[in-house]
Amino acid sequence: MSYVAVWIALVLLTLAEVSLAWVRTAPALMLALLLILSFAKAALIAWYFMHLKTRRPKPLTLLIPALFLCIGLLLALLPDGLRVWTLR
Amino acid sequence: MNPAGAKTLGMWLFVLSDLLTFATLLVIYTALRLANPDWPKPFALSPSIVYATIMTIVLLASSLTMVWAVDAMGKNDRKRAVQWLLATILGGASFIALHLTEWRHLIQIDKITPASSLFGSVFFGVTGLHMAHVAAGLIYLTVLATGVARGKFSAEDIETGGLYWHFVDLVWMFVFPLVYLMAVKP
Repeated sequence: MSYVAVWIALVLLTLAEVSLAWVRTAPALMLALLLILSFAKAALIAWYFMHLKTRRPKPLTLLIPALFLCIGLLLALLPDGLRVWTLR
Repeated sequence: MNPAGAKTLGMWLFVLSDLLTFATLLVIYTALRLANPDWPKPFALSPSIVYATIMTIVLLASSLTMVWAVDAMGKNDRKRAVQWLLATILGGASFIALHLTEWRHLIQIDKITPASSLFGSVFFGVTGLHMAHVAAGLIYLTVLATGVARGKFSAEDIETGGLYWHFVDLVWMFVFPLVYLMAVKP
């Protein structure tokens, strides 16, 4: 896929988002559709413009150790968080 | 295979950490928006949404010129790389000019300021942080363009700058729909 084709796809997806506002889509449905379109656009930018398609190893693998640290932090703070149910 | 160098890896780490900042802000914004049935909807389809759409397309175009600058530098075509970098800077500067015009409209006509309401605080907070990133990107790209014109900097340096610029573009792909399109005048 050429860069110009990616750009055209991004512009078309943007216009699709604007059309949702134009036809006054219901807020909850609009939010869901906008998020789908936004993630599609972000994926196109990351995959083609930021060269994730050809990058080895994928930079997102950097997140794997961070994910374990986040889970550890959540577990460490969970007892404090659960206190909210017993607070008056 | 396209192995990452230390500079590229460093920029990816920065991008991922900064992504968390914007993600947090946007989640807070959306939660506030959904929790308040009387959330302000100040953006008319014309001119506000038309302006914001043009800003989005301009920013996307600047990403296209940036990727061409990275390609040119990869082929050691420094002259072409500088030309595309300058085109990217022009796109970024146009985005800021359009954004400031939109802000001026909001402040002077709709009387919405960062201190006027919860909406004003989060709107100017989110879009202001993004604009600061664009402004920082313009300084970064100007340094790169000047350096490349003088024979300095490698292809990886330009690719690193490109990663930053595309990241700024990527974040706007969420700011535009969540902040602008979800607050269109009924």
